[in-house]
Amino acid sequence: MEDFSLTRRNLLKGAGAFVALSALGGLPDIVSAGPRMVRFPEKTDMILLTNRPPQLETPLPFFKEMITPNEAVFVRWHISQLPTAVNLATWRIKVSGNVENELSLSMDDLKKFEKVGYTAVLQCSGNGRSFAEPRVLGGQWGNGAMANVTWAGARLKDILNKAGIKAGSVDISFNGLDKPPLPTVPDFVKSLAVDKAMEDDIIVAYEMNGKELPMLNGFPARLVVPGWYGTYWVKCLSDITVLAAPFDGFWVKSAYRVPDTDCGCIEPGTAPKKTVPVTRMNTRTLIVNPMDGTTLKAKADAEIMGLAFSSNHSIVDVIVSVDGGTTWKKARLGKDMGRYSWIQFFFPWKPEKPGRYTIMAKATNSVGESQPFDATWNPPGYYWNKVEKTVVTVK
Amino acid sequence: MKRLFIIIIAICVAAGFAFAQEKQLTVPVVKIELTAGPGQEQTSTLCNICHSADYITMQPKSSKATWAGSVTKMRKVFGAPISDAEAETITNYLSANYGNGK
Repeated sequence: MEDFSLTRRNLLKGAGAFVALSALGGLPDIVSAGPRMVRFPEKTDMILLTNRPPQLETPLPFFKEMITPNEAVFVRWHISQLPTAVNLATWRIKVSGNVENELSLSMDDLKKFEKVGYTAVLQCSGNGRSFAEPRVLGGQWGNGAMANVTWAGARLKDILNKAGIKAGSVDISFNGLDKPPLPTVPDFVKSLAVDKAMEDDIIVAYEMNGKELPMLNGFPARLVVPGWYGTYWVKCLSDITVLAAPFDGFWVKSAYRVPDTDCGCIEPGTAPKKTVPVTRMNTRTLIVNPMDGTTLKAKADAEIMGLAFSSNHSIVDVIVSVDGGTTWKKARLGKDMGRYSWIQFFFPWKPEKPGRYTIMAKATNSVGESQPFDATWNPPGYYWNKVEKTVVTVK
Repeated sequence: MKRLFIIIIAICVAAGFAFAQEKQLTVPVVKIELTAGPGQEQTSTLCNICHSADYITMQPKSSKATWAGSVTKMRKVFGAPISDAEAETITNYLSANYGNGK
């Protein structure tokens, strides 16, 4: 990653955490210094949101890359007792519950299943939460809680078939090696309905971009549920439990829920009548170049570049506006790496006159799903996907 | 002698293999200072049982009701061992130092 020049402004846009600091009045020293960057094990310099449990955000320049390098993939843990060591000689995934045969799978066992893979976006449900208005509590992510990674591993379906799901099974729960700090804190366990879990593309991944997973991203294996938000992608997977009754754990029943409306959103500042679990990712774009607040030269060739993705459907169209949404033109799409991957878009631009320009990009997927022009809102700050505006000055 | 040498090599290879089988993680501790003020010490001590102080400092400036709701969630949902009196101290501290004046 040679191109790693981080301007303060770009970092500020990326680090939503620091938007809050502007409210302090004046510019305290910490803002002048930019967001706090940290280097955690197996990771590059990342934007620190929180230390324990760790939440690290990817700096925006990495999104110029089609594939996010492992060391730059964002980090998000829920409960503070992370595994301090994993030994493959003893680590196992236990498959139990309502099954014909309980399994205890070592890494070697996992690798005996057919190896499958694809490129898929991993994105936190709360990516972009810091832009919510009114502001909401939670991890104050900018745009850096997403990554495009080539995953490989064993099909969950193959593992479940080997165990043999008994008739009457409803949900399957997934637990990892992380543990709560107090017995009263609910362990981080997620679940999928049996039908969902048996889909072909859900894998237990032991490779990220052809390498083993960093510990902070879930070594030795994590669940990958392509098209769905990262909350289901349980890290350091240790237990798969087939259940004959609906799963009622806290992290499904009470957390990671959105209003039960088409957009998962409600009138800003109000409370939802009914909620449903977070599931599919919506359609979104990010303009990566030029970055917000930068200055370009008049009559010089510039290229607007960004990325777009949409759950489990390919992006078929990205339109770009350089006049704040008055006129739109199609952008050129880059290499198609499959429906779960993001795609890059490119739009050549030569601003003729000096002034301030508002660049916008809007993506549409193969089934017609697109992005709203106005921000949507929900109390937990999930599903941010409004058409972004990047403002640049031309001199 | 040659045989011993081979055995030693074999042991080293096995040890190396075992080492590669294990991966460790030590998350660095980042020092985060909460703003000085009445209740800072209790807030720091009690909240730190489960999470670092940046879970406070990264949040948007919030109303007293929002902070009170957050403290209640930590107690009722996550079972944080915080008494009524301590909850009041923490809420007042958060509202005074990380509040929006409402």
